[in-house]
Amino acid sequence: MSQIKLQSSDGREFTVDAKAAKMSETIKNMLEDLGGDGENAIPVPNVTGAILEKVIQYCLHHKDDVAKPEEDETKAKKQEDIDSWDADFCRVDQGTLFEMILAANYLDIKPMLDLTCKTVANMIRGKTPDEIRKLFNIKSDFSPEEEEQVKKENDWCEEK
Amino acid sequence: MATSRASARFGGAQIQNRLAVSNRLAGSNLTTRLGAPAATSGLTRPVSASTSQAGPSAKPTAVIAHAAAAEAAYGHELDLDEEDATITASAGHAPIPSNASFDTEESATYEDEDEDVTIRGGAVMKAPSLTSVATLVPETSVAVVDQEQSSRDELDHVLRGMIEGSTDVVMRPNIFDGPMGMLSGFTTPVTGSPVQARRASRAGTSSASSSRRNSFAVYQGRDSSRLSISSMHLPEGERKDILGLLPPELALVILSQLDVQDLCRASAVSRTWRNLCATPRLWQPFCHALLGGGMNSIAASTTDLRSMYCHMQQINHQAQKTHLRQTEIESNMQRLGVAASPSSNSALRTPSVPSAVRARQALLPSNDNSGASEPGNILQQMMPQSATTARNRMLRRPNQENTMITPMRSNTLEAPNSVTSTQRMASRLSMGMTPGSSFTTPSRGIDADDSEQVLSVTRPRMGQVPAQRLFQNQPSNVSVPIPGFGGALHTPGRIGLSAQMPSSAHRAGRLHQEQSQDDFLHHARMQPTAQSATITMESNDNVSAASDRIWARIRQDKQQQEAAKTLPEITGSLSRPAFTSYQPRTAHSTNIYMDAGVSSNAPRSGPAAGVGSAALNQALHSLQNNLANTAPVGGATLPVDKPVILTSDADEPRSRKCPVCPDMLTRDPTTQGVGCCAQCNKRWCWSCLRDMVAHTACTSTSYQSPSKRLAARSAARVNNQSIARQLHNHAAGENATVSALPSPAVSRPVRTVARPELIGTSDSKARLRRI
Repeated sequence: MSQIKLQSSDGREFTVDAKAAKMSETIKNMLEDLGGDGENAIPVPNVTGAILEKVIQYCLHHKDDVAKPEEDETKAKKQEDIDSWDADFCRVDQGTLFEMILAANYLDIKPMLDLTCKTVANMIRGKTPDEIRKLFNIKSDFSPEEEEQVKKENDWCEEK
Repeated sequence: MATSRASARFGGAQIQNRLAVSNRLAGSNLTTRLGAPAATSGLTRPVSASTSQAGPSAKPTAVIAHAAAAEAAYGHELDLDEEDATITASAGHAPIPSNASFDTEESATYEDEDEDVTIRGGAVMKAPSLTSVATLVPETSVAVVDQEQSSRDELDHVLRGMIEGSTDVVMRPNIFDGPMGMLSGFTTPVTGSPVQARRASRAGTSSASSSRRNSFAVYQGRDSSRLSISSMHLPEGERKDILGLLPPELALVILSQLDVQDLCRASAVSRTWRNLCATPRLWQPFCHALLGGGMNSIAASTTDLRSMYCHMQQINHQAQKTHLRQTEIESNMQRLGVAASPSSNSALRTPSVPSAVRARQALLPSNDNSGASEPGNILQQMMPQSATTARNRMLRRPNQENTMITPMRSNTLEAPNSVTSTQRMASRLSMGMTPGSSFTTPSRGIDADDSEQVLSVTRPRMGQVPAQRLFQNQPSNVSVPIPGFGGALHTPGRIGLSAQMPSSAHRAGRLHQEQSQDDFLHHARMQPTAQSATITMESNDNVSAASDRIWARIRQDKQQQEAAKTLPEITGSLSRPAFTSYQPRTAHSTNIYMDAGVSSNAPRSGPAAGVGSAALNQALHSLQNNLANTAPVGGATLPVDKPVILTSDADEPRSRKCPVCPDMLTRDPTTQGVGCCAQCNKRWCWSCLRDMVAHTACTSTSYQSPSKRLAARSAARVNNQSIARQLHNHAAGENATVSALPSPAVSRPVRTVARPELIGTSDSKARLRRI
């Protein structure tokens, strides 16, 4: 059973290397529970084909990765460095990125979730609130007073 | 010298696009302005570029083309010295009818180094329809942008593939074989840092397949937006509030990657973001770094760690600003060589109202109800808006009211890093402001000054220096804010008044005292944060000792929990806090602040306060107990001289070896001059490493590097203490009402630091003056 089939929410079927598919804890559990025979496609109801394609792409690339040791988790957390392949992988529009985060979460692929979240965090990092708003197309819903207060609150980190 | 030809085809009608070519080898910067007539500039080599008008709507385009040793088939050639050439193309300054918001310069820099080529382009395109591609093609070809709708989809697909890594970044010449440029409608430019781009190119993801000579990377965007491909360049429709739309737990995963500054900024984005960012879990690590072991008690008393953290940083920030200002003032002072003493005397005499009162009035909120929010709203309690303004007012006051001569005398002055306060004091003294001259002035001025010399504690900003190192810089003599405690402690139904009044208040005389108390109460109720923003530098070191113990107590969660169970009355029987491992002093002021704010809130909230209030009360009790423990019932206290503490230097060793066993000493948090050995269970003088048993005072700096600076510091300390003593004596003489003053001999265990002769002289001087 080296190949398994996955079916996205919009009905597309993907044949994936089992090892890659098992990067997803969700699929791994499904396989174990269902005792997948490789014949029937495993439904992935929450993920569209386009996104599932990305996910599979990621899994195929990372299937041979050794699991990161847990100890440096805190260190890795702050690390901004992203592997170049991963960086390219995340070069998608915001909608896709959003879906990818959800998919990674649903499929429980921790490294992918970390990667995508890190990507978003990097988008936020170093930007002023205005820039962030622009970036994510957010309208500030603060009242003028609140705005003022927030500004004051952040005084210390804005000026040096 | 290799000759490269780059041909550029411009798909936009933007004839104003500039193509700046700088040729480093030639040592000249050349700018070619592509006008309606294709411009040629004064290059030493022929440069020709052309524009082709392709679309109905003009699009600014930056195109960089570089061809290595191959002639492009397009007939537009740019001959350059290839070895070390920089081509910069910038576009977008031109008025663009279709696109009013295209406001930034779009530029691309092309660098050719030995093996790697990086294109950097800063392009921010705001209009949805904008198209920008900066592509470079090895060997022959060119990036082309135009508006042909027919090929739009195809190209979009190609480019997307390129961006997603599935397609080679490098466009082969044949891609461009169409009648016009085919790259159109591309809406997802590539962004990345130069470094990454370079690395990417090394990794081969985007290397030129046909030419190994150069590898290419495409980069476009701001330096700050690492990896944020797409985002800045997406049309409005494609941008979405990822964070706000994600489930909170996922949003938190993202936010947990950010550091403090980014978190603060993120919380200023929108309400959704603000709520997300207020999650205590995000702030815990930062608070922990700031507070160390005090974190637990903090967490018990507030859930709004974000406000707490921000507030602490605000205090820091303001104190730092003040410190800077003050340093400036003092340097001016010294430069002018102004003798400080006469002016300071006059400044002390001037106020007709005790300036302490005025200072507090300055702190009063403009809106009395601002602090009185509902119990559950900790944010409001912690950070009433008017508190901030009051603090700001307070900050401004020194400038408005104090002459340049007397910065330290200012009642409202938050002075700086109290690490240096003793030094500063010393420097003032050395400038002619001798203790006698400056402190034997009329009593009211002195009292006001004495009790209200407000200091803030400066901490370096977090996140830049390792926490441990930060803590070393912390002041060793932080005192409890007297007004705050007074206010909190004298809230009806809490504790007896006289027992806990700090001695300075007693010295201040009745009238002043009553005024102050009212003010204290009012102030403490209304302005917990403003109050806590300042730490009163009390000349009476006993308060400092009290705060030490309070701090130690606060850290002991167990005891606090017990205290929470007890009745509000002070038992006075709580034992002195046991020794705990050394805690960074940083947290000191912060915690006092916390609890000062907390305690002044608690009584008002009353029974309705609920759970949050219980935690607050708990902190209050702990404080009360400690103060009750510390202050003698007689009311007045005497200075408890502490050993010379040389903790403030960053270069001071953090720990010392126990003289007996191989273990290391840990500093006793309650008495800084003492090191405790966990193994032999003995207490050693931190300075001279002698046994603390029968060891009263130590001025030895022998263990330290015998630098002059340290000596100066200890001298400053001595001066400071002698001043305190003198003040005390003076006040005792002036205010006969405070009769309960015990003689210095019966003060609490005193480890005298001051050299006896100095104290003697200053005392006698003071007495002479009084007579």
